[in-house]
Formats: sequence, structure tokens, C-alpha cells
Amino acid sequence: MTRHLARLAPVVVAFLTVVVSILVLVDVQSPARSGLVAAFLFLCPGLALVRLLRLEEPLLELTLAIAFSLALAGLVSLTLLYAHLWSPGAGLAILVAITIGGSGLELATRSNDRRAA
Amino acid sequence: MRDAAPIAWIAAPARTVVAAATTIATLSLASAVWLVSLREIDLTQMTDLGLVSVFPAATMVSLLLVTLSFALCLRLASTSAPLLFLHVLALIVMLYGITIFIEEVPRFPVTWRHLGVTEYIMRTGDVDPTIDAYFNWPGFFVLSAFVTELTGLSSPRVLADWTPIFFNVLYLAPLVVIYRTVTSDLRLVWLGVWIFYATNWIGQDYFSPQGLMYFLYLVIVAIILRSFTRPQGELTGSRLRLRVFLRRRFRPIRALIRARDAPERLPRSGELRPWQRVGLMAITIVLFAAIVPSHQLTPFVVVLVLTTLIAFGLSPARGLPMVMIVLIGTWIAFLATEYLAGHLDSLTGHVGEVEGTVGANVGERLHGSADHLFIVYMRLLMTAALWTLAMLGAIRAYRRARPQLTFALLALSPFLLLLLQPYGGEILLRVYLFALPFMAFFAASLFYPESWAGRSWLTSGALGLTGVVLLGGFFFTRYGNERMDYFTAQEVGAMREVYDVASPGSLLIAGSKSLPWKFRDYEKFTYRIALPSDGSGPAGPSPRGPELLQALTEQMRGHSRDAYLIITRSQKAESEILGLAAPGALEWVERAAATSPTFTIVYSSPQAKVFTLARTGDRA
Repeated sequence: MTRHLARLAPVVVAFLTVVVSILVLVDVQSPARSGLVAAFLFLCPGLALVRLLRLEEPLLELTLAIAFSLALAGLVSLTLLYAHLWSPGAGLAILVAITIGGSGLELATRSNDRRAA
Repeated sequence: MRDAAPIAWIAAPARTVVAAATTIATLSLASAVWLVSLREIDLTQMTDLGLVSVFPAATMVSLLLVTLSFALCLRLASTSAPLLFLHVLALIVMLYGITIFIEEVPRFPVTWRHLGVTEYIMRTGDVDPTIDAYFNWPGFFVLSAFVTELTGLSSPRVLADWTPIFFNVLYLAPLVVIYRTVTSDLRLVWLGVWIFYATNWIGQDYFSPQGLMYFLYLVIVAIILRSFTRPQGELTGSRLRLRVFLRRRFRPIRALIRARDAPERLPRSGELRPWQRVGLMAITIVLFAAIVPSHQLTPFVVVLVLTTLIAFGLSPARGLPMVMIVLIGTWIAFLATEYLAGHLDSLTGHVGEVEGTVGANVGERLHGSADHLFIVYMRLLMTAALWTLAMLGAIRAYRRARPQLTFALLALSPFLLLLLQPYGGEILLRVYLFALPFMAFFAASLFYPESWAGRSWLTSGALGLTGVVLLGGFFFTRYGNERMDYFTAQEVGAMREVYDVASPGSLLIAGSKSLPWKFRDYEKFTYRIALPSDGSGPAGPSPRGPELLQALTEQMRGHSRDAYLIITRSQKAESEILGLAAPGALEWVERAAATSPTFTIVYSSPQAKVFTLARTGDRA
């Protein structure tokens, strides 16, 4: 079951990244937006990067993913504020870029591993 | 005999299924009873004993059922982690979510202040470090503003409503990771978690920087324990020579070194490849970098515990504290200079004054109504009880050759904070909080000192009884001051009215600090409190109604702009509970102001009234 959940992780990350980007871009006002955006902010950027470490410990990965996501969101928003460029939309774009970058890197490394195997 | 063996083999899983079904049924029943019992809670009948004074019997029964079900669940041969997780989740909701269901608005005056800082950032997109300390360590508030705007919420108040449950659910994963670094016994892991939640009465898990930074602290500790603890016996050179010398000379040192080399310490760091450890180190630094701009105290605690582990040769991450100190120093030197310039003495003036610090944290809280004093003593008693359980558990584990030097150091190193400063009279609470995960683990070790121990019904009974006592104490210690900590919609409504009518620069003055204010236009008003609870008020007997009203009137007349006096139910409660004024003083002020030609009523409800000085023509 743990392996199945681990395989679902990239799917969840991709889904949330796309959906949240659309919801915020179009400025949809809905309780669903709140839940989905929160899920993305608290999970996706960190998960995309933590999975690169291939820790093979689901609980540790999940813990690190949430903490890392919160830390990244905090640091990105803080940097924008102190740079006098306060824009939550821009902050989200940065986090989406981090998520896509991390997921892309994971995809590339796992493809290389499969080819090498 | 040969015929009985297959039957016993088939019966064992069946017994497990029956036991699991029983625990699920009990948990479901407890949850249902708990939910139904909430409707009977009448906050208006609350006494100075807090929430316990209005608990119906059904609420107590539901907690008893959850505890007994959990104790039964621990006995299951397979010790199902999902079942144990469900029990802990139910416990979190019952202990930390109860106020969400029975109170109209978020509790604690400081919650509303934090909402105001967040609102300021959402409104201006900036911080002003000259306002107060929050704007010098704004990380949490910036994140809250960021999340509020992106999620499309109209206000961060929705976040504040659910924060206690959210933060406590967040703490669960790193706690399990931490405990699993030293034991594979699931019973010990989950009992430690249970005791953590049953004794986390400190109440820092509201909408606050420290609540979220505590989660990051736990994760950093989890990473250090999982990946950056030194395998046993790995000493070389001068450190090895020193160890040999000490072991020969001093018996306590010999015991300490034996504890350090105990086989129970699992050398997990060897399982990671170098690039994985580099990645984890990078994550640790990023997490710490997020803590530094968010909270004053937590970064120092992280440095303290890490340095302690390094000093005892338990972690090879010697460079990490230096990186952390540079990050702290950079933030303070460049971005918190405003606060530092005006508060350097308060930050450094109490270093080494342990007696004064303890006095500020304990002695100065021993005043107020008889019931309130009972609550204070209950907190001291429950703290002593937990630490005693932890000490006994550590001794029992040590005698069973399962000492945990790492955890002992992590439990004790926060006490070094007492050498630094009183932290506004709260440092002992913070010491308790940072030591709590490890104290809880040792308390759990009392029941499960070894993987094959603790399987008797006697142990389960003792465990259940201990759980019931801890939970009973929890509601006194965490919610003992609830009469002054909770607010009503009317009290918030009074402040909304003030913010709607008051012009910028007005003076807002309250009887005591227990009211939901500063959640809007944080920087636009001057705030004063007539009866401070931190002992900073004038010395002498408690002020009575007439002198209190005179002092308030003089302050309002002395202000160059409009002034508003706010009196609420919660302020009166605080005044009574803590003995801030003579009995009935604030009630007298409220009645006198309502009938005096000196004042005009701006807002009036049974639980809150707002007055302003009548204009000269009106007074005539």
C-alpha cells in the first residue's frame, strides 16, 4: 500500500499544481479553492524536492514535505515583502516553478535509472 | 495437543479481529457521546476553575472511553498503527478542538493581536519595525497573509479558528519519526505520543508564530536524530583520550559513557548516502532559515539542543550551529535593529539571574481568586507529575540496559534557557514545551521498558489509570483560565463598532488586557490598559471603582484626540480571577460611566460597553 501511495504522489502534485494555478489565475471564489490552494501550499513544493532524496520512508518524506513546503512559502513571501514586491500571485508562481522543477528533475532521474537498469 | 495447536493458531487472528472491532466500536461511541455532550455546555455558568466547571458527565465519560479503548488497543498483538492513529486523532479533536465547537470566536487576546498584524500586512504589503516586536519577526504573519490572500479568504480569522487542531495534527508525524529513531516498539511510540497530547497544556498552539515554529523545531530534531547522530563508539584522537581519562577517574562519567554507548541507540545515519545527507542538511538549514525571522526564542532552542548533542559527541554536525548562529545574527543585525535598539537591556539584562527568572515565572503567578490559585497549583502539580513519571521511566529503562542519553539530553537542555531571561514570565512554560516530547517518551518507557514487557493486564490497568489522571488534570491546566480567555461575538462586535467610528490617532483604553482588540488598523490607534496583569501597574492596594474611573477619565481627557473606554465581560473576569482591582471595581466603573454626564455610550450590549467622553455641549 505504501508503494501505491508513493506512486500516487507525482499524480497528486501534478493535479494540485495545475488546478491551483487555474483557480488563482481566474480568481475563482469557492470553498474548494481554499482547500485546494492550502493543500498545494502545505504539501507540493516540499514534496517535489524531498522526493529527489529517495529516502524510501513515507512518513519521513511526508513530514519533510510539509515542513519544507511551509518553510519555502514563508521564505518566498518574506523575500517578496522585504523586496517591496508584495504579490501573493507572484509568490505562488515561484512556488509552482519550484514544484515543476523538482518534479521534472525527479522524472528525468528516474527515467535515467530505468534506462541504466 | 496436536489437535489444539491449529485451533489456537486460527483463534489468535480471530481474537485480534474481535479486539480491533471492539476498540473501533468504543472509539466511535466515545466520539458520538463527546459530540452530543457539547450541546449541554453553558459557558455563562463557568467559574474560576474554567471549562471543567461546566463539563457535563457525558464529556468525562467520552474521554474515559477513549482512554480505555486506547489502552486496549495497545494490547493488540499486531498493535495496529492505523487504529492507534485514529485514537490519537480523536484525542486531539477532543482536547484541542473543544473550544472551536463551543465558543463563538477564537480565544486569547493575543490571537486577535496576531490577526491584526496579518491584516496590516494584507492591507499595506509591508511591515513597520517601529510598531512593535511582531514587525521585527514577521515571518509567520507574512505567511498567514500570503495563505489568506491566495486561498481567497476574506480574513485570516478562518485560519485562527482551526489552528489548534491543525498545529497539533502537524506535530504528530515528527513525533512518531523522532520516537522511531530509538525504538521499534510501536506501543512505546504511540503511548509517548498519547502522553504528549495529554500533557501539552501550555497552550501555545493558537494562531501564533511559536505554534508553527514548534512544528519546524520538531522536524529539525527528527532530521538530526534520524540522519546526523553519530554511530556508537566512534571517537578518535584527543576525544578518545579524554574519554579514557574521565572513565577511569569518575564513576558518574563512566555511567554516562556507558549510557552513550548503549546498544539501543540505532546508528541510522550509516544507512544514508552522502548526497542524501547533503540534501537533508540543506532542508534543515532552510527550515531554520524560516524559523529565524518568525520567532525570537525558537532559533536559540534549536541551537541549544544541537550544541548539546555535539558537545556530548552524539552528533557530528559541528558546522551546523555556526551556520545557524550566522543566520540569527544576520537577521538581528540587519532586520531587527529597531526592536533591539530599544530593548537590549530587557533581552540581556537578566542573563544568569535564575532566581529572578523562576520568581517571575512562578512566584508572581501566585495571586488571584482561590479557584485561580488552585489552577496554578494544579499546573505545578501536573508538571511535577509528568517529570516524575519521566524520571522513573528513564531509570527503569536505564536499569533494563535501554538508556537513552540522546533523549535525556534533549529533555534537559531546554532548562538552560532559565539562564537567559524570564521571557515575560513565560520561559518556564517554554522550557516545559520544548522538553515535552522527550519527557513524554520517558514517561511511556515506565510502562514499556522493553519490547517484551508491559503485556500484563496490570500494566494496561495502570496505564489506563495514568491516562485518566493526566486527562483529568489537562482540563484544569489548559482551560483553567477559560472564563477570562474566551470571548463572545458581542465583545468582538463592540470592538468592530469602535474601529468603525474611531478616527486614526484615537486612544483606546480598556480595563484589563483580556479583550479581542487590535485585529484591525493595528497601527492607527494608541492602546492603554488600566489594570496590567504583568505587575507593571502602580504599587499599592488594588484600585477601587471610583479611583479607577478617575484615572481612566484623566487619561482620556489628557489625550489630544478622541478616546474610547471599552469594558467587556472578559475584562471583568480577568480582574476577578487575578485580583487586579478591588472586587466589583470594573462593574462599578461601567455602571458609573453609563449614568455619568461625562460619558457618552457608543456601544452597549450585555457583555460589552464602549464609552467616549461627552462633548462639552452634551455635558452641559
